[in-house]
Amino acid sequence: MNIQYKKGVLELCVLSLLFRRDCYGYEISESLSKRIDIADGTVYPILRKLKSDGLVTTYLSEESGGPPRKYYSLTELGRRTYLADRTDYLNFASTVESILEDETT
Amino acid sequence: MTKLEYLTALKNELRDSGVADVEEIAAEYEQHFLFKLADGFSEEEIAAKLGAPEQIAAQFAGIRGETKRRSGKRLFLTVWLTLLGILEGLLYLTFFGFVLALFGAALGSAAIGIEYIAQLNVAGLLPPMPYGGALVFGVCLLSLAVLLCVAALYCLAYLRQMVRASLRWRKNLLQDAALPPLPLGPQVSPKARRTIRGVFQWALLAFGITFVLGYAILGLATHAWGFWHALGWFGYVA
Repeated sequence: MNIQYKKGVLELCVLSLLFRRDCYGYEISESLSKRIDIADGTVYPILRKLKSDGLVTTYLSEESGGPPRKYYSLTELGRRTYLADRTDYLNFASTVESILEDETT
Repeated sequence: MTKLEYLTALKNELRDSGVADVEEIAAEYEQHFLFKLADGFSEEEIAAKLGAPEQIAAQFAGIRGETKRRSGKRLFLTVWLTLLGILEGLLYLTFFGFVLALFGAALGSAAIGIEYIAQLNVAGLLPPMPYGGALVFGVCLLSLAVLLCVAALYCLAYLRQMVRASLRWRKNLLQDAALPPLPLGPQVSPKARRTIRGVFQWALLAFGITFVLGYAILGLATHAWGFWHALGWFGYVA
């Protein structure tokens, strides 16, 4: 699938994962690369951009037997942005779908 | 590419693109290697799956506000914020002193009010007053205490919010994290606002009525406009 398609929605996917619960970077990278064919390394710049935009914050958490993990957590702005963008995307996707299906019939 | 080769290449690319916090970014990729190694992948496999270092670096360089341009200014900004912080701190401290004075005044008038009502003239500090007048003036002083207390609490909330807003502003400047700025005034829910306004208005009304009433009672009792002279408050009798 065209890489340009994916890039635009990856941010939304990351927000969606974080909307459910706080995650550390590797968790997000893993759950996305399992389902979408992307290079593992692309998730970290996205997380950094979301942090720079104030949509997520980070905190460190001590885990048993290992270095502290950097967790990402949605800010209030992040939650609002996610819910708005999610609605926009679902509307857009359903419009595109209906156009494409009209074409084939 | 081994882990070390990959991380070195990534750091070099990031530095060349002028990205700030190179070490922090590299640390996250190193963690990725450690997680994957624990799952049994080889360093070469992991590096290949991560994507080319120059592409990753380019993605970091593309983020607004992530390039080093700000790090040079950072020292200047920190010094300037510190100086401003000292000035701000003095202002906040002064304001806090004012709040304490308000609380003190509230406490004082409440104490005098209770003494008059309960006729406890501790250490003979209070000027004498017939009990009818003392009762009304006691209530008057208690309402004044409520008024001062509300004012003090409001000022305290104001001070707290100002400090919070100032801290948020500093954090935003230093971290480039675009959190929305906080408003300067205290944020009170409509319900709490109504309660506070109600308490304030009732206290003001009670204060006004009891003051006029108390004055009238004492004036009538002593047959003098300046009842304090008739009662000998300042050491002489008119």
